[in-house]
Amino acid sequence: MDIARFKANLNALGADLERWPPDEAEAAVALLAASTPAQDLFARATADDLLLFGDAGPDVDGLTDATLQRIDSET
Amino acid sequence: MPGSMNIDVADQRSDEDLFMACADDEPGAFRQLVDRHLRMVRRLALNVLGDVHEAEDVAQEVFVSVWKARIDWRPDARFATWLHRIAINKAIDRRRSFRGALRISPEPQDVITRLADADPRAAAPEDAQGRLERMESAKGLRRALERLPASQAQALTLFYFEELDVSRIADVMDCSEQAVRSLLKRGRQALKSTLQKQKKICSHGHRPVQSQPQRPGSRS
Repeated sequence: MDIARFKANLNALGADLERWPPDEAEAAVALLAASTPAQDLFARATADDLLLFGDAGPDVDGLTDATLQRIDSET
Repeated sequence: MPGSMNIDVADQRSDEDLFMACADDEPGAFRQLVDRHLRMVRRLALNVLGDVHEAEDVAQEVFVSVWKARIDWRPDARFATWLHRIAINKAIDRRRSFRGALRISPEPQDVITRLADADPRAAAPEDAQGRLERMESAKGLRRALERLPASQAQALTLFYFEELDVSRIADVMDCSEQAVRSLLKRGRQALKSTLQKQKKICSHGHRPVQSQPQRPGSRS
């Protein structure tokens, strides 16, 4: 997958790779692993997804505390 | 200790200034950064991994790595750009090891049990303020969708809320897959523009809250 196709998919389908056709999602992961411009586009599209459709995940307060506790235990 | 002090008022400093304060072990500075960026980091990982539990574990790993790097970090690039790249790379590593493990052992009992028990919405109770913000955001999204051309609104609704794939939407709307992609792209752009304007109006005179709204029809 080239970066133009990657960008076109992000613009149309968003950054959730589960919603992409499976072969294109795998190609996107390979591109992301090799390309920082692709990573930056992916981050921008992810921010757009959050703006447009919000956060489907659970509240992050508990995760914040767990993260800070993990840092304490691992450092 | 990175989170040893809880600060109720959001810090006005830039990410870069806060992270440099972390190098000086300023109490509470790292918690502020985690508060600002945890949702985005989790969402980046979720978009790569498709599993909220794995994504949350990767998000924790990301911040552990970032904390360890605080002494040597130099503000050559934006903190957020650097953070997002770490998150994406760690999520890709996890995806590859996770999927490799699934290929070796297609039915590991602990994975099956965890997936069967998974209920991400039940992981943490939502407070009243969070519910209110999500409801307000859902209303804003509905208003924005209503202002779009009907074909764009239909394509967005079918893809993002009904979770149909592009070929199925093409069947439903009696058009080509390319036409559906074009409608989705233009619809996203228009929706983004409208929601950004709404947020500017809502945040006029006070700082926007960090919490994100609920996505209707979200992945579980």
